[in-house]
Amino acid sequence: MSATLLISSRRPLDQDLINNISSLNLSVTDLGKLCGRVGVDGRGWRMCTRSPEVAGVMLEAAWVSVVHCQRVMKYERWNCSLGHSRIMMVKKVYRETALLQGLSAAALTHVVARACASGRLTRCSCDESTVTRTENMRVWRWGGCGDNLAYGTRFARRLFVGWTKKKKKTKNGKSSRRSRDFKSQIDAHNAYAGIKVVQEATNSACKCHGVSGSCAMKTCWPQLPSFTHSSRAVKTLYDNAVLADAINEVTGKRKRKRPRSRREVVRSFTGHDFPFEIGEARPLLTPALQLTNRGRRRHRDDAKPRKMRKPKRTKSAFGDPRKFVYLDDSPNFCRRTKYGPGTQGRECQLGRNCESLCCGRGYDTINRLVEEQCRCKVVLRYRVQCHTCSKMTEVYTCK
Amino acid sequence: MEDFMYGDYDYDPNAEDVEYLDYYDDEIYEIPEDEPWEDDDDMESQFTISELYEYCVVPTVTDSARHLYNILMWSLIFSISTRFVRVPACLVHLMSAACGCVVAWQLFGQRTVYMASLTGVGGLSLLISNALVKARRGPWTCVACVVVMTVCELWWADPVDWHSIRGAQMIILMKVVSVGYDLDARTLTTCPGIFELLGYILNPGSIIFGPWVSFKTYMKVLEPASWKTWPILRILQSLAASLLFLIKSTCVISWILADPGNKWMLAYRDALAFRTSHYFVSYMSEVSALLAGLELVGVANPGSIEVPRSLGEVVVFWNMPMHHWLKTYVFKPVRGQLGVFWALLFTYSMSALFHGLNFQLAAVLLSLGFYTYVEHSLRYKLASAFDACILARPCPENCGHSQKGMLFIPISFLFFFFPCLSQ
Repeated sequence: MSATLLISSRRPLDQDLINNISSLNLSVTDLGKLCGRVGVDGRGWRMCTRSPEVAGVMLEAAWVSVVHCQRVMKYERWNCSLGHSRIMMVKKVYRETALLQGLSAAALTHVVARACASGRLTRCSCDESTVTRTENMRVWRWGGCGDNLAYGTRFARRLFVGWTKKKKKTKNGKSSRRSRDFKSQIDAHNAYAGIKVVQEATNSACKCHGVSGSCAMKTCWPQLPSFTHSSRAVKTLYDNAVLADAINEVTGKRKRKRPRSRREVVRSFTGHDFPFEIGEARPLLTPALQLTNRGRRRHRDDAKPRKMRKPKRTKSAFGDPRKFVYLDDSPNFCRRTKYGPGTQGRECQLGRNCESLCCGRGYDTINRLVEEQCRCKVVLRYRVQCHTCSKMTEVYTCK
Repeated sequence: MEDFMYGDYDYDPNAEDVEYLDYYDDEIYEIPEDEPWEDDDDMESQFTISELYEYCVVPTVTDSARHLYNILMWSLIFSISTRFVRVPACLVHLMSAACGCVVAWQLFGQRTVYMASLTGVGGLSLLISNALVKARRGPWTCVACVVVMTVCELWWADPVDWHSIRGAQMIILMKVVSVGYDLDARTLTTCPGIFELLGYILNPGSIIFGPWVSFKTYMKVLEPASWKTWPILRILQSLAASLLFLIKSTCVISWILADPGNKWMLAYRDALAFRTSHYFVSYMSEVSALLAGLELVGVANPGSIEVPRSLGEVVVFWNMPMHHWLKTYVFKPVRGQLGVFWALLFTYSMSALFHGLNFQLAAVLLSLGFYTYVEHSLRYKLASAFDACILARPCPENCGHSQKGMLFIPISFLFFFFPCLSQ
């Protein structure tokens, strides 16, 4: 079962509610309702109803992911619209679904790590496993209790990926865990990619000490940057997403039609390492406009039926955890469909994205009086006082 | 992730999924007008004090404590096992060498092989030159050690590894060369045996961070000591000072001057972080040397460096044992032959060479050499013109100047910013 966590949100969330959720004496059903509002189900729902602090963290992560998704996709055709279209989106495996999975997982990792650091989650602990992870040769060890991030990673993995430590094997080599369907595997892979983004965003600041500036001793401490960096990295993953090409191990038949040669193709569990077919350059047009060229293709003749062989034990079924994987080409977001409200009325930036955003329909120019802050100065130590200036600016909206 | 199985392939991309229960209703989500989620971009650059404590101070101190406790513990073990208990001399040296080896191994791991090679070559050249030619032992040893260090740095060692051990290599070189020169100058009458040499070079109190101690100071370890003569208060003070400078260097300075406006403030901040790191290392070396029973006057004097009398004083108080070594073993022999200017230039060049063939360090040191020479000459002329005690170094008691007051203050401010920026 997959956890469609945090990517469907229904009603508005109050910031006060998020802040005060631990102090409110909420019963299990109340917590369940709150969690259900943001689209937590399955495993996540059970964890959410266990304690108010976990519920607070999940709600906050939902909020973070919504805000950052909209911020990062502001000038794309699909701008993380919420509501029923979101639910329809989640049911398929588009690039946008991959983005939602990855961003939600990343947001949860980030928020849990922060909550651990500030003490809001009491279940995190500083376990000594970091010591064993260092190589014997390395003397310079990462300093301190950086396990807040490890706890966040574990939390998100448990929720999104369903990662368990132990696996029991039966005699013929298959795992005794329930096998998963293809869509949930892809979702889990994308979520894992999102978690990896947050992990890699953590940089360690280090300082060397020694005689005359040598590095006899090095002290490091980890720094978790703001989520904006991670969300931008997730957007980059979305831009470079690859099509999954799954091969049925049993029958040797391909599961889906042959993709266009214009994209990179990642083959899942082949015997050799990820043969990338990079035909022409990456398409500059968004996927939605290419729908006109779609057609069913025949299977290529070089697809030999595969014999029964064990899959390669890579970290993920789809190879590189640094890539988003999707299965279906994205629908057309230009018009109002069940997947989105269309691009009419969206604000665009002249010269940069108005053409692609408005799908060639053109844009309206409106002169609007915009108020913004100007002439700011620092009054006290950390307070900034600004005046408000208003000026006429041109705003471009799609037809 | 290893649990993925490719069992079920009934996924049809075009079919409407029935397994997902649609228990959400069709309300459109409305985001409130103002954004309650705080943009934590602004908070990122400025930690609060509690965050600073938790994210910087605690990891730094705990992490460095893991390294440092090795040095301090083994110095203490050496001291306790040899000085407060009567043991034969041979065993003292063996114990010193053993403790030093353990410390080096704990801290550097496999990189101790470079230190071992330098020790071996240096010791061998010393003993061989002593056996064959009873003169010029100092220069021969120096040449051999410099060759080994250069080979190590350029061809043998990985740059990262070299950067971590070059401090310790320099200390070993200084020790071996000092023994050679002392033998030449008859300060040491008999050549030390192999055990004594090993014990001196690998003493745990001065192997990692220094400081350089002369062979005579080391030999005082053989004398028995009692609890009362141990400078416990001084040890504690130096330990506190070193930890303070560590925290200051790692956390506080980059927090106070987090976002400097212009590049000069940035340069000042980096230079200050470097200096405080040096003070930390100096005080730590003092603690370890005192714990191992080696007598020292002091290693670094932050007060004289931050508010200096002159640039020459900064150079002196930066690392007092090393200053003494350079003066005794490099400057004075060369000055006798070539004069002050060339001797100074040669001294700073040799210092740059021993620090490793690092261009930035060499540039800083050579420029320091020029500045100190210019300053020294200028102030000498000024002192004789004004007949006042404004020499670069403090005047001795019987200097013959009539004005011995505080006239040096305006002069020293002239040279105040050079120490800050030239490091």
